[in-house]
Amino acid sequence: MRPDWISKYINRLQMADLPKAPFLLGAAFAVLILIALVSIALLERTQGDRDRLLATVETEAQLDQLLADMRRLESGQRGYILTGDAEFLTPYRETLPRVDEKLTNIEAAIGGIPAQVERLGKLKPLIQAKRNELAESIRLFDAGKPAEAIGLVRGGLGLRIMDNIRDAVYAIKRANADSRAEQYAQSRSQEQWLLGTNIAAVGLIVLLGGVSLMMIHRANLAMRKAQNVLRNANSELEAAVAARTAELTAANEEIQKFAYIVSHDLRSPLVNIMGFTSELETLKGAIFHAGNGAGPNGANGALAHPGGPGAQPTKAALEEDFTEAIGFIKASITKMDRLINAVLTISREGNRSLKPERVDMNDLFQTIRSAIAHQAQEAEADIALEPLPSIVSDRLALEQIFSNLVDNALKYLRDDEKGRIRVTSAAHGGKVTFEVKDNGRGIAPRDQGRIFELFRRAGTQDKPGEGMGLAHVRALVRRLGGSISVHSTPGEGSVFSVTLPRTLPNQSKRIGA
Amino acid sequence: MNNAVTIVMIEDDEGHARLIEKNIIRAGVTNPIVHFETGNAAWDYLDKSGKAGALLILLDLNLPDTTGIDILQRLKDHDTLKRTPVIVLTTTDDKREIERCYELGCSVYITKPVEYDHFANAIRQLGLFFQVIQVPETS
Repeated sequence: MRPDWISKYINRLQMADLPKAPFLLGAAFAVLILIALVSIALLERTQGDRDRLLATVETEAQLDQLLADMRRLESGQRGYILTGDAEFLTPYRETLPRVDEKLTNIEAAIGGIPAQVERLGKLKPLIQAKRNELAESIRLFDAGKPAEAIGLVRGGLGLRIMDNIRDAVYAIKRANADSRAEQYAQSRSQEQWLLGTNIAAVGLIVLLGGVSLMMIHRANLAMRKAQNVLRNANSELEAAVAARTAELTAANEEIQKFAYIVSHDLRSPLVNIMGFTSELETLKGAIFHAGNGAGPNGANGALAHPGGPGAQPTKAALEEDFTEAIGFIKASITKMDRLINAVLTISREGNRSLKPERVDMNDLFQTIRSAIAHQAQEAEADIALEPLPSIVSDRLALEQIFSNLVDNALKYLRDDEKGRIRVTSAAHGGKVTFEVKDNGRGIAPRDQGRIFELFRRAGTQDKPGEGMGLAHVRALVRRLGGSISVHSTPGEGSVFSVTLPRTLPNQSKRIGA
Repeated sequence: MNNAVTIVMIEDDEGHARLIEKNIIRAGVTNPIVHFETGNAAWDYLDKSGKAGALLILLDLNLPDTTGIDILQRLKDHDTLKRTPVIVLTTTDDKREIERCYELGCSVYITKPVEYDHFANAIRQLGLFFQVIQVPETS
């Protein structure tokens, strides 16, 4: 019964928390990896946004420089044409090659945005036109036609181209600024996503970790509890095993004793049967030769008669011997049959399945008392019953046990005193002890163990009996999970104490019953 | 063995007692044989027949009312009966029983054979043995 609920408990433990904790930890790790991947992706995207943002800054700077370069070209050309001082051409010459470089930079910085590329496409011819106009005026001046050169400036073509260039640059810059604001907004939102994701991830991990920790903690507690339960169960098991071993040893000794008694008691009549059969064989010769008076007188043939060896037995003596031998053979066979039946009865009793039920012991003893009322009256004995409890046990076995004990009490009373038989009970823990007390002849201390053995009796053999009753009673008490003992003073009376469990456990067959 | 010696046979089985008696007589033993079926009856006789002269006791171990061992012990504790030879004649061949009987002071321990030829032979040899042994007076 015990190992059963322990294994159930352990099963429940295994089914419950233990496998969930690693699963949850795994889930937490999965979430962590997912978050890391999302973060990396978001970071990558932020990186791209930042690059694009930087590109817009670069575009703006390059555009500003381009515009400044164009102005520097223009102011160099104008200074030269007005003053004729070649000094003014130095910045012009220095700046001129940088313009293409700037255009290339700008093209790279705007990174293939179609609208911007288109705008740049419009700017490029304007730049070229401005450069042509500047170069033309300087060529005219150098060719000794300063008036024409100044006229070209006055014509306002350069101014208009410059205005167009500025407008085109501004257009690109505006678009660039718009794009930058957009990038910035996007980048902001992505950062917020990243932050949100990370916060959520941290929260989730903390949650899962917490739950996992809690589960592990709970599993640990449960495991410790199970270990304690197991340890207790183990120690209890050891005690149970020790008790059971003692029980089995006792049962084994009893079986050996039983086997010994049975073999001995069966052998006894067998010796008689064989002995008297041989005697009959011997008699045969004497009987058949009795007529001619020449009876054999061999080693085995001599019959014991006061007449002495060699004397011829009379017919009457032969008949007497014959009848005696047959009588002993018959008696021995009957005895063997009786013994075998007794052994069978006890063996059958051990195999009968017990049916535990609530038994009112008062009723049970009342029934026993009324069944032997006649004998009790004849023996002038008084049977007193004290109030007795109810127990859950096998009714038939209880009836057999106590009617045997009451029968014995009644059977072995003393002639010189009125019989008084008293039945009492005492409860202690889960057990009840019933006592059947008499004031009969009692049992000598040396016989008190022997009376429970099969075919053994004690005291004066003046009452009929087989020596089975108490052996049977002890076997039954054992089967009911109890014990029986006797306290007796010869000449004063005996007390048979039967201790039984208050509730007979539902048992399978017991060994040694 | 002197004819004044009385053989006291304590044997619960009447058949055994009869077979033992027959075979002892066949061996030529003519001493009186007194038979008791219970230990207590035998004890009553022995305890009170202190002056009856020499005794030899044939004792069975399995008695209905008490054990042969117990009778043996009582005999060996008795003031005068302790000198009386006790021959344990029983069906038991249990080693511990044999040891116990010799410890208590039995003179001879004989197991009754189941086979009658052996049984008769054993008892007759016992009878021959009776013819040669000396038995002390009880008193």
